[in-house]
Formats: sequence, structure tokens, C-alpha cells
Amino acid sequence: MKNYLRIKKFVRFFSSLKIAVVVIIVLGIITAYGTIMEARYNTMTAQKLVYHSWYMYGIQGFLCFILMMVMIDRWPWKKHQVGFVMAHVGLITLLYGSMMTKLWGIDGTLSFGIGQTSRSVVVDEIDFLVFGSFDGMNYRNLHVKSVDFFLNPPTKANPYKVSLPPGDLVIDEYAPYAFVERKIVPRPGTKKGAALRFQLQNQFANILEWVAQRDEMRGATAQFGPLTLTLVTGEYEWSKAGNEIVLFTQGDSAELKYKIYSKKEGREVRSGKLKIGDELVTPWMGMTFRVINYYPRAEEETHVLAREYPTPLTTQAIKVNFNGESRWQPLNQPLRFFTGSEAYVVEYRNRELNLDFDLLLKEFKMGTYQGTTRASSYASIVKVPDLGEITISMNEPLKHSGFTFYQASFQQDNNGKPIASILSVNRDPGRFVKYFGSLFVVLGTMLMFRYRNNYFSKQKKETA
Amino acid sequence: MKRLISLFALTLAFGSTVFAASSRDAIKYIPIQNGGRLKPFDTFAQESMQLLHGKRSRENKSATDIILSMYVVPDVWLNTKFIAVKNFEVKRNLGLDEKENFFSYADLAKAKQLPLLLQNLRSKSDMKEKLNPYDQAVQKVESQMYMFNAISTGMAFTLVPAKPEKNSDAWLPLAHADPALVKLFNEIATEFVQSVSAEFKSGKASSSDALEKKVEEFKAAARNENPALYSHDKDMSIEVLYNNLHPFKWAWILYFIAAFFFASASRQKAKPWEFKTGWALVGLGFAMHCLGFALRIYITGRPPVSNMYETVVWVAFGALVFAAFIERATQHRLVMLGGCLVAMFCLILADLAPTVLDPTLQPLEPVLMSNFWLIVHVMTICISYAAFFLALAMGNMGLYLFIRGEAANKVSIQNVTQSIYRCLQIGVVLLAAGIILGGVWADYSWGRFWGWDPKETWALIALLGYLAILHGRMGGWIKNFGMNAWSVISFSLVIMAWYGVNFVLGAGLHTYGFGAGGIEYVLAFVFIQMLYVIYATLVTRRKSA
Repeated sequence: MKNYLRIKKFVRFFSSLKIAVVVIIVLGIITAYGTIMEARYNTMTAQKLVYHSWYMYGIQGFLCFILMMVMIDRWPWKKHQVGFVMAHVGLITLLYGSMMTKLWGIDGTLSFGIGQTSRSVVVDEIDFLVFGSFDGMNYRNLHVKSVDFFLNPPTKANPYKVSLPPGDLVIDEYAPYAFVERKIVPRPGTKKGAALRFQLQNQFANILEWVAQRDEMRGATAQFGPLTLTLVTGEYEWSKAGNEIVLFTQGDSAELKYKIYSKKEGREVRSGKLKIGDELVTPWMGMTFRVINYYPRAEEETHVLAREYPTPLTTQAIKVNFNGESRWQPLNQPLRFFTGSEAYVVEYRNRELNLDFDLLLKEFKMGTYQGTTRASSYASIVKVPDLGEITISMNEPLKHSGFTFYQASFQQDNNGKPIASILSVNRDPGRFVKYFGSLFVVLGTMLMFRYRNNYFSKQKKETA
Repeated sequence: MKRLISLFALTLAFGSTVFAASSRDAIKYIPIQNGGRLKPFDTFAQESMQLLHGKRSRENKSATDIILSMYVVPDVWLNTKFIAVKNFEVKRNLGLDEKENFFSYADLAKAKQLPLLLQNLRSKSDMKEKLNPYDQAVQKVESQMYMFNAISTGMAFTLVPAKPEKNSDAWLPLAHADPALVKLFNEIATEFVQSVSAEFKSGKASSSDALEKKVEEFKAAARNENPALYSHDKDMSIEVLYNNLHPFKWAWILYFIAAFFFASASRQKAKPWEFKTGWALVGLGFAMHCLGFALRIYITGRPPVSNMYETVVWVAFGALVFAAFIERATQHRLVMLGGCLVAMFCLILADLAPTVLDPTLQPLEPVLMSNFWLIVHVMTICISYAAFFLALAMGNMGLYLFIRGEAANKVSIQNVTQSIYRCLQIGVVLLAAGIILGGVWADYSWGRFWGWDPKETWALIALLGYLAILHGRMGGWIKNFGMNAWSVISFSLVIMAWYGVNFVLGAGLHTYGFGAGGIEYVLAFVFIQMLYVIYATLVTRRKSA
């Protein structure tokens, strides 16, 4: 009996309206703070520091708790309390649904170029991986860990360490809003690979780009639709898959040899020598190819500027120290280290989940408002196993094997022509729970107010 | 001809003749492709003037006359001080007179610092940094100069559809059109000059059929290029009608008069006809309001809730509907006064602040196209703001009654407070429903029920604020005075959700209607309201003490 009273007192205390008002206000203030963080920094920052923080979860949990307490306190429920119970049960259901989504849902993106196949869905979680190889062919996974450097940034005092055979790999700096600049710098007198800046031009396109060998032994290619450009050292065998310009480096010489292959004719159609400033007209597509710059020995350097505030061009980056080298690594860009006998690949990237089927992007359609380049609609025509060709467009998603695919965005080339499509891929086990909760909240609130207004008018009649 | 033109230039530069409706009106109906849709030349001219001059007309001359004259006699306009530059920092950096608000194209082009300013702007936008109000002001100067150039060279006049074999929906500017068509258009220009000069000489509107005939000839020739792409005359006429009619202006004038009748009807010895007249006037205003909506829907082919301007007009609509609803249910007459005041305030705002509340009819972003849930969600949330706005108006009235003395106005205070409570109930239900519908839309469009988007989040914060008030009322801590005071204070949350997110925070998915400006006025409004609440609190405290 005494216990019963004590429980009753406990329940009564936590079902007080005063606590409810305080919780509502605190929730409002935290949320408002989140929006300010989002405006000042970006969505990721606001989510990590506010919306998905322990105190946000704490206040939501406490809200659920007092909602339950107030319902226990009002037991046994009377008929006029239907609205009250519905609204509060609905709210708990809604919060539970969001927790289900957060815990068991998948929310990622899938991007693929036109004509490409993909099954990998990139999600927000970030992994840190190290692979090692003795022969440069077979890589073995040496380290894999899910990391959140944003919330737990590695510092000089508290670095992130991975023990590897030649010594520790140490990450001792983290930049949440890094601006990455990539520069090709000449390295004469070394054995580095070559780098070429070229221009490809016809009436439809004007491409100005670098193509750089990672090292002397590797070929580098640049692909533009049906045309491939390859920079190699030594022998090269044409795959016959498409039109191709192959450029052969000549050691430290400033001259290049070239061969042009035509798919239509199925053979080499032209060859010769090129140096900076030279140009040639391709036998297909009527393109002018121009050598703008050429370094026989060059290297790509990554500079990172840590900024205080993010822009759409900044990304996360870490500073990796290994084997006497110290290099910045932006998110989603593998880093390679070479010691005397081994090669290491360090990856700092968003986790990828593999679907159990492939999607092929057959076509991307973009409609524009008349006379402008403003998009009015866009759609991906996707080939899906078992389903055939499906159109995924804005507001018309595809549902398939538990996932929903939404048209989210697309990428354009310099001429504004779409080249790739970005789908948002999502699995939400809490969806119906949330919908159910929402319905209850709205209906419950309406019933509650109806009751209160009737109550008021009754009171008024009595006083009259 | 030369003499004519110089005379014409004189008219433009010094003349202040009111150009009344004339045969030149025919020009207004010529279809032009601009901003992603077909519109009448009238709309194009008004929008261009809005950009260049900050107003839709100048010295009582119609936008069409001015814009066309820029094409005919660009040299005169080159040195006319009519391009609006209001930002002080921009004026200072360009070495312009800070006291002036209008400059000539020549003034701007002469400014040595201009290329540097544009360079800075470009490097900022290349780095995809957020543009602050100063950058936006620089950007505006650039687009004003671009626009002036495009008009004076005829590049802005995209009046001719491309031939079918071109397989393009982009219309050709006059400068690239068939010479025969250019010739026809220049004939219009000649007739135009004659018409203006005749008007200047005689002092009254000219009415020559020649101009109308030339316009018809030009339209026929342009249509002939590609009849499938050319617009219907009817659509153009309706839009010109909408431009001329100003239905929302008529609506607020009628609401304004109605408000007087409702105010006088709420006196104790009021006659029944006063209240009835108020209703009749509100009815008329409401009809104009609906007509405005109907025209906008017809022209754009979508519900009118896609930018700030349209939501303000929609809130005015909602406030009146709720006021009428509550008045019918409770017989509290002051509600109608509140509804009228809110509707009037919103519509005046929409009328007076075209730089903040852009009244132009814009095409939509793809994600906003043809989506039932989106429309329902935005309409529901905005209409809930109308209920809260009405509560604010009632709260102000209630506080006034409290200042006048609680004991003397007991019944009125009770009625006002009860109306506020009704408003908050309506608002809370609709806002909760709207937020949830927003979740349904987001889930349907990109699979995310709730993504902490600032616009949605602030709507939630506003909801939490009003929920706190309702719970406080239930707990008995918020009495009649508290209801009045809090309904005023908590409206600042709605202002933040409705206006602040787009104009202050400027982040997130909902900033399609992004713009800047007006913040000082909004802050002043909030500040005055707060002072009023504090004053009322102090007065009431002293009286009860």
C-alpha cells in the first residue's frame, strides 16, 4: 500500500503540466539552436552536434517518459479523454517510429554515369581502412574501423594510430571544412610519371583538362563519351572498344609520340610526334586536339586549406603521417604509400553497401523551362533485373526489393549536358509506424479541442 | 524623323504628361519569352522596370512605353538617372553619390571600381560561398546593367519563336530574328514614336489605328514562324488584365473600409446595419481577393503558394476565413475586425514591398512541380499561420482593453480571449497536420520523413511554442491576460518560421524563394510588439496592485 502511494506520487510528479511545458520549451530551444548551427555551418555539423546529440536523444526520451506518466496518471481513462490519449499515444508512436528509422533504416545515395552499372549505395558512416601489398598486385586488408573524426577529432595530443610493419601510421590532424586544391607540379630529375594538359574542341564541346600518370609504370586515361585519351609509357595494346588517342611518353624528352585509333576502321589511322603548342585534328568527330602543357616528370600535389566555415566545395580531411611522409587526405580519396618493398593504400571513405542486384542507367532526361537552362524536370531511365526498363523521376520513385529509389540530383558537364544521375536509396522500417503515429496525433488533437470547446460552451450556458 | 526623335527625347527627359490609355496599349499584348515562360510584353516591361528602377512605372509613364523607348532612343536613357542603387556600401565602393538613389547607366559604366567589384563577386560565387546582402546588391547592379544593354540592343526582346526545324523551344531575340520581322518591329517602333510625340503635342491620348495594325502584322508574322509555340491571344489578354486590375489592392481597400464598420459595430450602442455593411464590404473585398487568386492560378497553372508573396496573400485569405468562421460560431464581433486588419495588413505589405515579396509569376523548381502533397503541405502550414496571425491581432486588441481597464471591459476581454483560444486551437491542429504532411511529402519525394530542414524545423518550433501556451493555459498559469500577451509574443516564432528562415537563416532546401531585405522592418515590428506587451503588463500590474 505504501509502495502504491509512493508510485502514485512519483507518477503524479512527472505528469505535472509544469514539467511538460519545460520539456516543450527546452526541446524548442535546442531545435532552434540546431537551425542556427545549420545556417552557420552545414547540415552535417548541425546533425552531429545538435539533432543527433546525446542531449537531443535524452530530451526526446524524457518526453516519451512523461507522456507515459501522464497517461498512467489519468487512468482509468474516461470517454472524453479519447482525444487526449490518442494524441499522446500518437506522439510516442511517432518518436518510436523515428527511432526505428534511425536504428534500422538505410539512407544513402547511388550515383552512376549514363551507360554505367552500379549497385553500391553510399551512406553517411565513415570507415578508415588500410590495405597492404608486397607485390603491388594482391592487397590484404590490414585495418578497418568505423570512425567519426568529426566528433572525436584526432589531435597531436590524442592521435589515431594504426600499427603497421614498417611503423605506426599516425593521424594527428583533422579539418572538418577543408578546401582541397590539386596542383600538378613538375618534378624534373625524378622517375615520376608524366602529366599532360590538353584541349579537345569541336562545335559541341570544349574540354580543357589534365591527365597525369600516377607513376611511370601506369597508364592514365581520360574518357569523354565514345572517345578515350590515354597517356602511357612503353607498349600499348588498343582494346578496339572505341576511338582513342594514345600518347607515348619519351622518358625525359619534352616530345610525345601519338597514335590515333578509329573504331569504325578498326585500326590505327594516324601517328606522329607532338610537343607543347602542337595541335591535330582527329579523323573522327572533327575534334581539335591541342597540347597545352606537358611535364615528362610530374606529380599531383594535394594542398589542404583548413577553413573555419564550410562551403559546398569543402570536405573533411585528415593528415596522415606514415613512413616519414606527411600528407593530407580528403574524404573519399585513397592515399598510396610506398616503402622499400611494400605498397600501402589508405582509405578514408563513406561506407558503401552493396545491393544484391545491379542498376544500369540507360538514359537521363532533363527538361528545361522554355528558352532557359533551368531544369523543369529530370528522370533516369534505369534497367532493373526482373523489372526491365523503369523511369525514375522526381516524385515518382521506384520501389524494389525493400528499397525505394528516388531521383535526387544529377551531374552536368561543362556544357550543361547531364552526364550522371544521383539516386537517393532508402529503406525505412519505421515508415508506417510514423504514419500511424502522425494520424493519431492529428485526430487526437482535433478530438481533444472539440471536447474542450463543448465543455466551454456548456460552462457558458450554465453561467448564463 | 530626326526632329521627331529629338522631340520625343525631350518628352521622355522633361515631360510629365500623364500618358493615358492609348493605342500604344496594343504593344502590351505582344507575347515574349522571358524567365522560362511566355508572358505579355507588358509583364516583361514591368518586371524589367522593377529590376532597373525599383518601381513598375516612372513619372506616370507606363513600363511598356519606357522599355520600348529604351530600344528606340537608348542614348537618352544612357544618361537618365533612373537605375536604382540603394545599397550604401555599393554606392561608396563605386564612388557614387551616397545621397542619390538613382543613377544613369553612364554613371555606373564610368565607375572605375566596378570591374573589381564584379571580379570579387565572381570569385566568391566560383567558390560557392554564400552571398551576403552586399554581394547581392553588387549582383543586382550587374544584372541591371546587363538588362539595360539587352533592352537597348533588342537582345532582351525574345519575340520570335524558332522555326520548327530548329527543334528548339528557345525564342529568338530581335537581333537574331529574320530581317523581315525586325523590319516589322521597327515599324511598330516608328509608329510608337509618332504616337508619343502626337500625345506630347496635343496633350491628350492619341488613338491611331496604324500602331495596332502594325502590332497585329508583327504578331501574325511571328506566329507564322512556328504556330505551335506561339501563345494564344487570350492568355496574354488575361495576364494584361491581371496587371491592370490589381485585384489584391482593391481587396485591401475594401477590407480597410470594412474594418471601420466592424470597429464601430463593436461599440455597445451600435446599430445592426453597421455590422451588416461591414460584412457586405468584406464580401466584396473577398470576391476581389478570390478573383486575384483565380487569375494567378489561370496564368501559372498552379496553386499560388510557391513564394513569399503568394503565401502572404494566402494568409490574408485564411485570416478572413477563420475570423468569419469564429464569428459565426461564437458571435464575437471583434473577430471580424481582427480578420479585416490582418488581411488588410498582409495585402498592403504584399503591395508595398515588391523587392522582398516578389509578385512576379515564376516557374517552379522541378521538385516542386506537380506534387499534390507539396501543395497540400504548404497550404496547410501557411493557413495555420493565418490563424496565429489572427490570434496576434486579437491579442493586441485584448491588451488594449486591458490597458483601458480590465473591470470595465470584462465581457469583451472574455470574448477576445476565447477567440484567441479558438485561433490557437485551429492553428495548432493545422500546423501539426501541415508539418506531418510535409513529412509525407518529403518521404514521398526523397524518402526522408524528417530531415531537420530549417523551414520544417522552425514550423515545429512554432508549434512547440503554441503547445507550451495551451498546456500552460490548461495548467492554469496562463490566465486571460497571459493568453493575450503570449499570443502576441509567440507570433515572433511564426515570423521566424515564415520569413526568418528564408531571409535570416538562408539555408536549407526551402530557400527556393530566397531573397534578402526588409529585415529591419520585421525586427521593428517584433520590437514594437514586445514593447507593447511590456507596457500592457506594467499598466495592468499597477492597476491591480
